[in-house]
Amino acid sequence: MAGNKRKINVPQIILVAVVIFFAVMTLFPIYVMLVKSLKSPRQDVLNPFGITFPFRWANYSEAWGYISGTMLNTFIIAIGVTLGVLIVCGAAAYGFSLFKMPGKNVIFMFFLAILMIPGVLTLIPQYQLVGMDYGMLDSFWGVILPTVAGAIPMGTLLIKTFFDGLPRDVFEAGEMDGANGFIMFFVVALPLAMPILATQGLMSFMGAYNDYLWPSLILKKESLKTTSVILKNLTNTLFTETNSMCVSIAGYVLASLPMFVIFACCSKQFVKGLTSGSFKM
Amino acid sequence: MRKDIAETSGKVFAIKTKKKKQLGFRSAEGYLWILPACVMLLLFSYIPPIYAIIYSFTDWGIFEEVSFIGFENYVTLFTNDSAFWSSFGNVALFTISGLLLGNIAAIGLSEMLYNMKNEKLAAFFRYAFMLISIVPGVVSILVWEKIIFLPASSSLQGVANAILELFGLKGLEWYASTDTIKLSIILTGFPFMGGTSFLIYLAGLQGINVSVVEASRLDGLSSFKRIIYIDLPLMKGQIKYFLLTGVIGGLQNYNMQLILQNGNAASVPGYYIYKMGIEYSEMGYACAMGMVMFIVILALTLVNNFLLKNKEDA
Repeated sequence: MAGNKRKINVPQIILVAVVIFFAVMTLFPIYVMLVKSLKSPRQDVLNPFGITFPFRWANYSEAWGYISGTMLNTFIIAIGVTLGVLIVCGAAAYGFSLFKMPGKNVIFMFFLAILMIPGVLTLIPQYQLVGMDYGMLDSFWGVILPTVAGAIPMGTLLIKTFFDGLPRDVFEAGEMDGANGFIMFFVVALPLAMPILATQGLMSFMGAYNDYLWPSLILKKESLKTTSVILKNLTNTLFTETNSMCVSIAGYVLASLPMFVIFACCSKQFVKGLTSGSFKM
Repeated sequence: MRKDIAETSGKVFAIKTKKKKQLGFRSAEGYLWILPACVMLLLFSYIPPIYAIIYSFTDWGIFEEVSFIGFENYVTLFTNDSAFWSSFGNVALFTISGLLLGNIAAIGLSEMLYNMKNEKLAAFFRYAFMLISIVPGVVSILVWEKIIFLPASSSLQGVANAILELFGLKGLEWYASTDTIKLSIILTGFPFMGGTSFLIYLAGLQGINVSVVEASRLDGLSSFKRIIYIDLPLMKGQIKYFLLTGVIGGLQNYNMQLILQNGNAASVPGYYIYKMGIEYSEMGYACAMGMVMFIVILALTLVNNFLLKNKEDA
């Protein structure tokens, strides 16, 4: 018996060892980022990849000085996008799922048809339209509104599918109690849809927080820029000034922190979000 | 009999109409609920592709005046723009290598975690491999550019060059040289296991009937043969999903080129369109390139759908 057990265990130990090896390789960028963010320029030259003492926490306060304004901008945009997506998609999903109206299916087809149009086709005309024709250059609206519009097809589909799966009796009961559509939306529909709204909200927040291309086109004024957009230039300027990247790398950690907090708080919803939609940058 | 059916179908019909009436009397209100979404789509999502079609036939540029020039943009594109077509070669290289490396790594990882007997350990590793996808995209590209693939000409030492020198090899320039930038882009993200696609494969493996796996074990099938003959065919759905989304996403992806800012040597159509439209203000020409990309992507999607349907029928 004992010999048998050992026979089963040896491949298991090899398996675990191999997985540990790959896990270390996969997580190495995070490790090296954390380690370098706490180095002084001298420590970085002498021992570039190991843990060195004492930690230089001042890197973080310096980095915070450079990126705190952009972090605020990023948060305003990400929260605006999230609220916008939840309200607009939630309302549209409610309308599509619970009301009978002529042309409903055709309109919904038009919603989904947009998914067929690739971003490489629309980037240039959308930039001209939003930036020039609508005059939204250097305005958060110019980032928030197109991002919300871009999320409408998938978001509406996701929430509508959820509403479709709800038992109709819930809404019929509300109707008999004399609740109008507005009250029903807020008192019955939204609370029931909480799980799917949380997933969609998280996806929208992460997408907007990580977005690079569109904010870099629309927000040209220094005071309005988002964190993703300034990190590259910050690294280059600080490197030519100080010949070190450690402060910028502390900035990378600070920029990643909100995502880690979200992951720690709601990893279940997070996994759902990551696996149900595309991870946009 | 026929009467019965008529009666029951009549009943069903009555129930249906009843429901219709109950939920249908507020039909006008339904339009009100979808109105905000419709307005936003009209303003931001429908106009751009229409613009793109129209302007692809014009010389829309930095000047105020825009005139129709027929198919001139398309003719130039097809006969006199080798840069666009070489960028197509690059995107094919990056998409195919990315699909192969990414999916082999994800399937390999999911197999390893699936075969791990210790549940707690497997759960821990699931989170460990996911963790890397939490790092914002720009940050992770910057970590690869500024820390791992730092060129040998830099005053600091990068991780990759330190490893090369450990083996007595000379450090490379990585992204900074036109000779190595393509290889560096392909290698970015090594060992390609982090992320979430392995979770979908893992779910696929866990969906395989336990009795099938048991039977294979009793038949003395080796793990390798089991993966090839049982697991992979049963995960066909997941593999197809990743191939389709991977091709469509990969063709449009130019994040690396955009953030590296020296992506010309490894240009892809998306990046070329971006440069043409934003930096050189050749918007009409950029729209024509976008149309070509749209048609390529649409054709690939249709072919893919056709193949999937045929296979399901067979």
